[in-house]
Amino acid sequence: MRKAFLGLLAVAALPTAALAAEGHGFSWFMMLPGGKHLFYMYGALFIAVFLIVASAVVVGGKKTEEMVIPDPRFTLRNLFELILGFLQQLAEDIIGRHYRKYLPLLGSCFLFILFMNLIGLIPGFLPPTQKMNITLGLALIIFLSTHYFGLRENGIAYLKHFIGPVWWMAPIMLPIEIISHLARPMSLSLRLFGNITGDHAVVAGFMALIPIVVPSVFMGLGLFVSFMQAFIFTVLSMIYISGAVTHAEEH
Amino acid sequence: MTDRQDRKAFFRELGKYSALGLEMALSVVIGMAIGYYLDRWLGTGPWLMVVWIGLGFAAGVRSLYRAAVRSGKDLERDEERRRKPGGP
Repeated sequence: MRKAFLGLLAVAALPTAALAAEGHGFSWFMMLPGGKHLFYMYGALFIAVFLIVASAVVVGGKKTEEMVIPDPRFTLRNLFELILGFLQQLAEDIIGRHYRKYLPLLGSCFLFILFMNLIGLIPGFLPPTQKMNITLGLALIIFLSTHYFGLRENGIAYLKHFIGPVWWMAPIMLPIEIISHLARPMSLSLRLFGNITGDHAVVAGFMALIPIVVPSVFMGLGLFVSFMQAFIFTVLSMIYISGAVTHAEEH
Repeated sequence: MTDRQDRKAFFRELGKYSALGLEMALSVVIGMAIGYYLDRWLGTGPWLMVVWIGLGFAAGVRSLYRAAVRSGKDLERDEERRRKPGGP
């Protein structure tokens, strides 16, 4: 018993030793093969698998009639329904009547980002959103699907709004529109990356200074930032999609 | 309009405007990058970079204008919904 406890303690002390040796953060995913460089990939994959398993557990093997009645207590299913209900209202508010077509993409984006941010608050894990690769990938998916939705809804007429209102202004408006559309995925990814990195740095800094009570305050702040950034990413995606989709009705 | 809906509108507007600053700054940076690489490709001195920085600034103002128009429309719609009898 005592030996097992000591072994456990040694394993728990490993991150600290690794931290002292490496000089930067430690994540359990670094133990996996190739984890030194790919730990954030493993983290993102872990979250994806977690979300798939969680939704399989929540929905799996139940009929639609059974799903109508909500669970009496606070369960995983109720948590997901709370989040999705909130997103649904928001999407209806921003996109309009046809919001249901876009909700699968937006909802999974929100949950994926939210859990990737939150895992960084658990000691021994680093948030995958701390890497620009991950956030830029997410933003590019949103960028490409926004234009795909726009083309699918409005056809060739969608390309017309790149050349501005008057035809003779097209040579000026085309580069302006291209720049302003390119700035969107950049700003989406940079904001998420910067906020999560900054928050993690603040927690780490105060952990090094006063490791007793003070870091918990900043962990609370980190919780808020995690929610807020996932939420802002989703709301901005909604705004971009609604701008691409409803353009034909406005003119 | 209930307190809950007010809070939702507040979060929506917060998300929208927090995007603007970064988007305006990045527009200029992207314009500058395009101009720089076009200059290097075509060998036209600093001129294309100057032009594309101007275009980037215009793109930033364009996204500001778009957000303003959109926000005005949203506020109008909220006002209309509030005035409607029987509405929330």
